[in-house]
Amino acid sequence: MSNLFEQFEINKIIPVSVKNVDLSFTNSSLCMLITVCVVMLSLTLCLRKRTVVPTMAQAFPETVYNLIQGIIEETLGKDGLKYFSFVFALFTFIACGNFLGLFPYSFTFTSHITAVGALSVFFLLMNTVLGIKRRGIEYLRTFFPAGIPVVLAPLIVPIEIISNLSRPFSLTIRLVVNMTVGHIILKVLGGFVVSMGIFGFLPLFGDFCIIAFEMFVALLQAYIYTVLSCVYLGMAVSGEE
Amino acid sequence: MIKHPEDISKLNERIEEFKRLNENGKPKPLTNTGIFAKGFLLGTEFLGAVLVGFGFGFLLDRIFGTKCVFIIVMMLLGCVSGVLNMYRTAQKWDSAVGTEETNHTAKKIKNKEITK
Repeated sequence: MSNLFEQFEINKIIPVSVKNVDLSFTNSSLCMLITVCVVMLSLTLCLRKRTVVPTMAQAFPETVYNLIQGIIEETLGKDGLKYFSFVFALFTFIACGNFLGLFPYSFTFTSHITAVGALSVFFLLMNTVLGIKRRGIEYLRTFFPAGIPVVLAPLIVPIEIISNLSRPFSLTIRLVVNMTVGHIILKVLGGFVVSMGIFGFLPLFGDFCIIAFEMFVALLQAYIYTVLSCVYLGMAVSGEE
Repeated sequence: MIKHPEDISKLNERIEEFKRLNENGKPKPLTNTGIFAKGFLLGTEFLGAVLVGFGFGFLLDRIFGTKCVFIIVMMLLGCVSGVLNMYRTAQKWDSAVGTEETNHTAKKIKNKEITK
């Protein structure tokens, strides 16, 4: 059986180095680019002929639109619809990235802590900036909620700071672990298909089931990532815990 | 089947009441995922906080040149904030600890016990 982690290796396609900083175009970058192209192309093609009664093609982006609208209204309220384009882009990017990673010879960039972590840290910074912009100095209340005795400040403030900073970590770990584990299981079962010879159909059937499950997980994880990002954004903007 | 005219006249009121209850009522569940997904979600909330606590402690130890005092203290604080994170996430689900619904149910049970 070949190396299980071979599928997660990053290979340089176009090596670029600026002042000892590696800015190479890798297979991960290529997959991200393909994901963006696929999302844009599919949305453009599906919405080419817009009718009042949606066709099958038009129903697909409309369903995604309704889903995101529902998430935002549930977590941020009607006021949160101004962040719609950002949340929509986030969901489609992650969902499509997860999904494309299931294709043979493809690369799952969502299984890398660096890629997802950068996205989550960006989201944390955005939450902080928006929170300060909307609530001003009142944003600092996040780290010391009202109604708590001042004596407890040395204990509560570090706890709240860690709690706030751990959000991108938990978001990242959740998505990355799900994607990595699914792909490793697929590869292990794929190896058994060859090594078990005539009884190889058993792990093949298992692989078939896991692929179907992974498709579900790909969409579910993108959904959870988006919902929790919206929840955190709502917490930062409104100040409610 | 012939419907009673009273039922129809009350239908609009019932729809309005249902809408009002849906808007101001109990919080909707965050996700309808399975129990394992929920468990995993809470687990990562905890793990993330502990890791951040460890990272903070490690940095502070390096800055102040101490051996492992800050790692221990910050990891403990990380555990506490992990539990806090889990509690806050679980609060958004129906029938989770601390939601209005469960508090209400708990009060009901308590009242029943008292009356008995």
